[in-house]
Amino acid sequence: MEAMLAVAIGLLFGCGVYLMLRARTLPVILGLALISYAVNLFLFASGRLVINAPPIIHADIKHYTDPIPQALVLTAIVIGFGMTAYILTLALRGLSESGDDHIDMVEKAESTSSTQVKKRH
Amino acid sequence: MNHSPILPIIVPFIASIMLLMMNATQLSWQRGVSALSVTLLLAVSINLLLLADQSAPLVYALGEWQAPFGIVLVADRLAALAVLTTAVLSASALLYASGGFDSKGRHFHAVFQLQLVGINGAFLTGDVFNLFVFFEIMLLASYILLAHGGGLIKSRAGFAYVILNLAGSAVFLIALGLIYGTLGTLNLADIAIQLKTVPASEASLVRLSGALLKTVPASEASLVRLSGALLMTVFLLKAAVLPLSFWLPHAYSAAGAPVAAFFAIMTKVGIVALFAIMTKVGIVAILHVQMIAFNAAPVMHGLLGSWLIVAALVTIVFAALGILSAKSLQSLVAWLILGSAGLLLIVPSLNNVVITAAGLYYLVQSAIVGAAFFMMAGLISNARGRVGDAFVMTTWVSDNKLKLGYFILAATAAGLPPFSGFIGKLMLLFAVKESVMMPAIWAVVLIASLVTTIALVKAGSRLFWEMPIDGDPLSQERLPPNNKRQHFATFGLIAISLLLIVFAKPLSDLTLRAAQQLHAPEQYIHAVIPHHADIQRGVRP
Repeated sequence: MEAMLAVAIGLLFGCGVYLMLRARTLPVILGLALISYAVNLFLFASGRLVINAPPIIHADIKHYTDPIPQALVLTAIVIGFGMTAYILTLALRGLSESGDDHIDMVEKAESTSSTQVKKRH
Repeated sequence: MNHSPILPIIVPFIASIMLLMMNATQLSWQRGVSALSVTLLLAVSINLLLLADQSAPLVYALGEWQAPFGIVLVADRLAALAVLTTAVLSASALLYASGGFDSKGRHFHAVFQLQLVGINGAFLTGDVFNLFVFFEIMLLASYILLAHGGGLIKSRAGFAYVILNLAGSAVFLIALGLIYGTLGTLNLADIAIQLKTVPASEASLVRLSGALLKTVPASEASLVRLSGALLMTVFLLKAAVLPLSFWLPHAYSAAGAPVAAFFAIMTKVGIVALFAIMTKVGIVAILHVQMIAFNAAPVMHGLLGSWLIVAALVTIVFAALGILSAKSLQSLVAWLILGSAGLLLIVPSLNNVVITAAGLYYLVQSAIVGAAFFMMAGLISNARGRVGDAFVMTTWVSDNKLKLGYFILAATAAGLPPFSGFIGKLMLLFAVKESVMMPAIWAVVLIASLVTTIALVKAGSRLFWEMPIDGDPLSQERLPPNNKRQHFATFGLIAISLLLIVFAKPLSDLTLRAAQQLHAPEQYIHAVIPHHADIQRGVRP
C-alpha cells in the first residue's frame, strides 16, 4: 500500500508541476489543485498508514491510528478550497479585462497594436 | 491565566466579522468600527509589550490544553515588538485608506482586519501548523487587498503573486508533514526538544534530564534535515531573498498606496518567522552548542550558515540595481523594501546577540519608513495628476510639505545621518565588525547605500525640480484637493520615524533584551513545556 500511495503522490505532483508551467490560466490553476491533492495525501501519510483502527487511545485498544494528520488534512483542504475559488475568480477577472486567458494578461488592444507596429517596421 | 497574548488576534477578528455583517455601503460606520479595532489593537499591543518585557515569554494555552498537546500562543519580546510595529503601521495605513481608497471596492475594512489577524497570529503562534494557518489567512487577505481597486495591472500582478504563494504553501505543508512524520510533534518548543534527540549516526544515544530519549531513528535524520530546508525555503520566499524575490517588486508596485504601505510589514513576517524558528528550533548554531552538550550530533548543522549570507548580499545588490532602474516612485520603494529584506537577512546568517539586536532595530525602522514612503508615493502621485508617480517631467509640485517629507524619507531610506536609517545601518555595520565576512558586508552595504542615495536624488529632482522647457499641457489639469487624512497618516508615520532617532537608546535596549531572549531558547522551551521529561509519549504506530 505504501508503494501505491507513493506512486500516486508522485504522479499527482508530476502532473501538477507540468500543468503549472503552462501559459494559460486554467491549466495553471488545475496544476495547483493537483499539487494540493498530492500534498494532502502526503500529509495524511505522515501519520503512517493504518487500516481498520480507531483514532482513539483506549485501554482496550492496542492498535490505533493517528488522528492529528487527519485534522491537519481537513484544515489544508478547506484552505486549499478557498484559495482555488479565489484564484479562479481572479483568472476570470483577468480574462474579462484583457480578453485573453494568457497568464501575462496582456491587454488585447495593446498587444494587437504592438504587433501592427512591428509589422510596419 | 493572562489573556493578553490572544487579544491582538481576537480584536481584529471580532471586528472583521462585525464588518462582514454590516451593510457594505455604509462606509462611515465601517471606518468607525475599523478605527476602533485598530485603536484597541494599539492599546493591547502596548500592554503586551510591557508585559512580555518584564519576564519570561508569556504562554497562552488555548482551552487550557497544555503544550505539546494543545495549541499555544507565545508572546516573547520579539513577537510583542513585531505586533506593536504592525499595530502602528496598520493604524496609519487605515487612516490613509479612509481618505477615499476604501470606497473603490467593497469589504476593504473587513479584509484589512483579517490581514491583521493573520499577521499578529503568525507572530504570536507557538506551533508550526498554526503558523501555516495564520500565514494563509494573511496571504488570502493580502490577495484581496492587492486586487482592491481593480484594473488589469493589479489582476496581472495579483495572479502571479497568488500562484507563487500557493506553490509556497504546498512546500510549507510538505515540510510540516515531514516534521510531524519524523518528530511526532508540531509545537515549536517540543520540536526543539525532539531535535536534540535526532542522532546523525546510529552510534549516538541521547540522555536528557536523566531520561533516555531516542524517539527518532538515525535513518530519518536526513528527512528531518530536509524538512528544515523546506521550511527555510518557504520563509525565504516570504522574506523575498534573491532567487525567490522576483514577485515582490511587481506585487508591491501594483498595489494601492495604503495597501502597499501595509504590505511593508509582510516581508518582515517571513524574516521574524525565520528568526524565531532558527533560534528557537535551532537550525543553525545556537542549539548546536546545546546539542554538543547533550552529546548528540547536530542534525541541522550547516544547513544554512554558509550560503545565507551570500544570498543576503546578492539580494542587496539586486535591489540596488532595481532601485536604479525603477520607472516610478512606488516601484522604487518596492525595491527599497527588497533591499531592507536583504540587509535583515545578514542577521540570521551570522547569528550573534549584538547583530540580532541591531537587526531588530533596523526591522522596526525599515518597516515604518517603507510604509511611510509608499504613502508618500501615493501623495506625490495625487499631486501630479494624470502622470502619477512615474519619473517623467511634468508640472511643478507646489506643495512644500511633500518636498520636505520626501527629503526626510529619502535620507532615512538611504541611511544618511542623522535619520533613523543611519542609526539602524550603523548599528548593523558595527555589530558585524568581528565577523569574517566583515569586508564583504561593509562593501556591499555601503556601495548599495551610495547607489540608493544617487537614485533617490535623481528621482527627487525629476519629481520636484525638472520641468519640460516648452509649456506643458498637463499643467492645466485640475487636481483633486489635498486629502487631510492621507496627509495626516503619512506625516504621522514620518514623525514616528523621527521619534525613532530620539528614542533610539530605549528602543535599542529593548531590541537587545529581545535578542538575548531569542538567543536563550531554553527560556522559551521551559516557558512552554516546563516538565518535558515527565510527558508520556506513546509509541508511534
